[in-house]
Amino acid sequence: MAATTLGGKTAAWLVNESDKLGKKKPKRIVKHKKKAWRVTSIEDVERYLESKRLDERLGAPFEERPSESLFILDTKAVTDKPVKSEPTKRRKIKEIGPLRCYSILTPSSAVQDPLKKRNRVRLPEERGDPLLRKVMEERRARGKIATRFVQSMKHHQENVDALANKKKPERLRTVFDFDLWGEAGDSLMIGDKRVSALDLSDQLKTYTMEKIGKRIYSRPPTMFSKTTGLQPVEFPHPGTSYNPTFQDHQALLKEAYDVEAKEIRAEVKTRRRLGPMLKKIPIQRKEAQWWTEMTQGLADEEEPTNGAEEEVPAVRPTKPKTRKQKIRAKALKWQDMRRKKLKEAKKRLLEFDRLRSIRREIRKSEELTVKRIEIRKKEKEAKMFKPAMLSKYKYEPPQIEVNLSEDIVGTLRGLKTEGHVLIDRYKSLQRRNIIEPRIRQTVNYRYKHKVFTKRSHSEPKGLKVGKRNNKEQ
Amino acid sequence: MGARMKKKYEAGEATKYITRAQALKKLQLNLKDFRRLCILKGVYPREPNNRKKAQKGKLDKKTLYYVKDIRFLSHEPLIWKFRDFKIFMRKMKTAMEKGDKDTVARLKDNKPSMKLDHLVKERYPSFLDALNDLDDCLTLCFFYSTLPRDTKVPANLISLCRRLTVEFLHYVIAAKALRKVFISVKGIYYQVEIKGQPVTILINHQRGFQPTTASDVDYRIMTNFVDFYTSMLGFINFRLYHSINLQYPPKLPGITINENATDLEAVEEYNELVAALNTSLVANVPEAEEELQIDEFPSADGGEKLEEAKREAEAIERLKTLFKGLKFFISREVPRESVVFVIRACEGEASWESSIFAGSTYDETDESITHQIIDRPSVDKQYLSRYYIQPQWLFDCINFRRLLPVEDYFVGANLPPHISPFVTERLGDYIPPERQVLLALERGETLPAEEEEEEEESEEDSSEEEEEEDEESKAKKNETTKSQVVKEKKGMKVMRGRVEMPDTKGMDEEEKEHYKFRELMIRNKDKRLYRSMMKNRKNREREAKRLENKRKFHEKEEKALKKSTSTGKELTAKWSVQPLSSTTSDTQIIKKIKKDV
Repeated sequence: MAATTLGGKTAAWLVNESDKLGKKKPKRIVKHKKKAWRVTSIEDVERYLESKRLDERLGAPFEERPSESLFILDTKAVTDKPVKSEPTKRRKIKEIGPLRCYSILTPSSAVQDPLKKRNRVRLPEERGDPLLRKVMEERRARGKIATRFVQSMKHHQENVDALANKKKPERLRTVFDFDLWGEAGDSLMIGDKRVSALDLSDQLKTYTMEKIGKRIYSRPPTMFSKTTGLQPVEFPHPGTSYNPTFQDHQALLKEAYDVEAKEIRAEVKTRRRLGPMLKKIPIQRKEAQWWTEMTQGLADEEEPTNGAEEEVPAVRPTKPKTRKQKIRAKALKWQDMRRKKLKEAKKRLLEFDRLRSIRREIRKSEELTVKRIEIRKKEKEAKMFKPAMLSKYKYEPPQIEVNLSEDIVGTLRGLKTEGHVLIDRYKSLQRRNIIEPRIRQTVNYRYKHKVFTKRSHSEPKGLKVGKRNNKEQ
Repeated sequence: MGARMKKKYEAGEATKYITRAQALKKLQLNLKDFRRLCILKGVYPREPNNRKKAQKGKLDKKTLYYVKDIRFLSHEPLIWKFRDFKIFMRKMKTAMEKGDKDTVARLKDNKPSMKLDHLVKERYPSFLDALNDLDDCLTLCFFYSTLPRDTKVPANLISLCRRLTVEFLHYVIAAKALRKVFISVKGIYYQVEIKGQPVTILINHQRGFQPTTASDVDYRIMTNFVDFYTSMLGFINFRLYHSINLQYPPKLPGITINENATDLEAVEEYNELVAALNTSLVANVPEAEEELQIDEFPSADGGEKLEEAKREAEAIERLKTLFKGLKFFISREVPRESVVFVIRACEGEASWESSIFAGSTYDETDESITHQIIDRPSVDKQYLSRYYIQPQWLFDCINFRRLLPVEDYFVGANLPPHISPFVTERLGDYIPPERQVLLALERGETLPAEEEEEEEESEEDSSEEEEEEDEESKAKKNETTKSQVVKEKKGMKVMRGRVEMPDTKGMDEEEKEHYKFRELMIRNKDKRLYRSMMKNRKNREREAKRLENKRKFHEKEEKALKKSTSTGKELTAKWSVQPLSSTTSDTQIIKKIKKDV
């Protein structure tokens, strides 16, 4: 259909029109008057022009094109290509080619650029003075190449090679090629000079550093003090051997047993204590309880309002003291103070008699302080072997690694491993107060849901409809 | 003009501490970076003496740091590196999201990197300080070297750990620094002596990777530690290698590791590493063999200590060349890494089947092989020229510091218990007979037979018996002296000279008296401590006696059992020591507990 309309020439459309006219009797139109012009439909003309433009854009109509441009002779037999399993997304796109949806973005016009001398980016060969270019080309043809050009090409190649050979940046140092504790390690950069630190006095060092602006900040001495008296890698219990002696193994089992038994005892204890609180209650009773709890005081409030409304506690206004009263109070106070002073002086006088007992008291208190100092010292020393309280959470010792009697085979092949080295290290670091014990927080993102009802599920707005109905009625 | 009013929490304990949140604010770092910085710099949280004062009246427990430490942290140039990295990540993210591949590549090429040399130097001003902290460093690095590729740890860190640890093992081999080995259920403990300092390392068993749950261990934190430790270990290795005239880094096969290798390839690499252990480094200068000489100083403690030290030194010398001249062949099922390391550390030669793993030096058919290490119940084809032993023999030999008789360790034999070398007994402690044999071996050269062993026991156990013996001899002597006197009265005669025996009993008594006097001389201040010490010792002795009796009883029972059942072997075949009936109840309870859990 489209082809026929497209293919039609001027005569053709005239004929078509005439056919139409032939069927219907044409209205007579006076063509020299403007009124008639308005009536005339130019649809057909426009349609024709449109088709013409389309032809221009897309090229010649299909009928006129040579069939070679439209069809291909398939001379190759279809070979069974091995199907690649699960092509990646990228490969898929490559195979398919650019997506159909993007074809609208590509220029599809066959119309030639009417502006012949449009500005565009010149290719490298086209750039520069054409005359000079010509000379250069001639020279090159004669075998003469400018040294500058050769040099630049060489440099370029070198750069490319250097880039290719450039080492990937490492996260950390991987090459250890000097003695850190030797002279090389001690050297400092002062300005752009490397100076051995042994040559510099401390004062000079700090002075220079201060002048340069890079001062060396010394480590506070507390950082050198040990945080614990525990060994970094503790010696294993002899019972943890893969083939232990009977006694050692029993001793370790006993230890593990004691820990477990203690835990169980504690659990039993808490259960016993909390047991009555955690009784099972039927729902009805619970609800009733809740009701009574929630209504606590509501009924009480109502009652007094009904009964005794007059019983409002009377607030007695405070009267200011009179002058007389004030003077009297002051005098009393003075008297009291004087009496106390006298008493104290008397007591002090009396204490002359009990000088001996006072001396004894002093001695005793001194002894007590010495004892306390000792106790504190011991406590401090004992503290070095215990994990400190470094955060909210308490340090929890790891489970004792022990093979049960039946797990011990006695050969290296049948060894059943117990425990994990990394956990052991982690716990050791915590035990030695290097990192704080903590419970790992996992962030659980919970996005706010936006709620809306689907149109198909929403109820029709009945109010308006109803009203309208009402009106109609 | 009155004095200024004192405010609370403006002096003393309150100004000494700073909370973590405050520190973060002060340093303008996020928690992750702060933690990292603290680990790298060696800043630890502190527990205050008075928490209420330190937290300025707040009662909830917070993580506190010293203010001075945090001030010190603020001068660290590493903070700027952290900030650089943050910026780098931001740029990367935008470039990635824009799909700008060129920019991504360019940025990646200029990724900021850290160097921790100055921190190593700062934390350990001298080499000995670093050696003090080596235990932790090595244990963690060894663990990281065994991690699989798909953990959250950067692959290059794993490979770096692998390289450094293998280099360290090579140092131990070259310096013959291995002293003790102990196979526990958790892993293998090695004790290495470096410059007179014992370093204990725990290496996990090569049994495949056991993943930990995220709540157990934070890998990020441990990685920060390992970051620092790799730098430290590298420099320590450099120094150690140079101390024994070796070139660093050594050229070893299998040390270059492909970063994006698959698991299979990683296993291959591991095999190559073991192969690397089997190659020996060549020293630039042959070491001059020094005869060990201990200077003799007259000391107050007497020659006993000196002699002990001498014996110890001799034993260590013996240990260094324990397997010299022995050729081992390692069977497939034996954990190769540890066995090869142990053999090579004592100058032995090791090889394995070349068709299965790379790096073998000789074949199984080699007639000069002296020991074949095997860990299965039986072998089909046996060579007469070699012993077929179980791997425990090697480890026990090292702990005993001498070659043990191989009979107990033959294929399929019931192995003697593997005793921890890390246990040191105090005076009066109970020592099981197996351990006693070991101790005796360590002390004396000769390997005691069973009778000798008893002798040793008696020697060691108590001086009471000696005293008894002395008394007996004394009595005899008295008799002889009496008879002499009788003879002498008969008439003047020139008698044959007799060797006068020293009055041992008298001397003993004198010594005892001296001891008592010395006890009296103890200052009042120390008296109580002394008494408690002696009391404890007595308690220990009593306990030891009790255990010994128990053991004797147990053995007697066992013997009776053996006699009663003709097939006694079956009873003891599974395990060398059978649990007692009285203690099995404990184990059963534990089993129950474990099941419940």
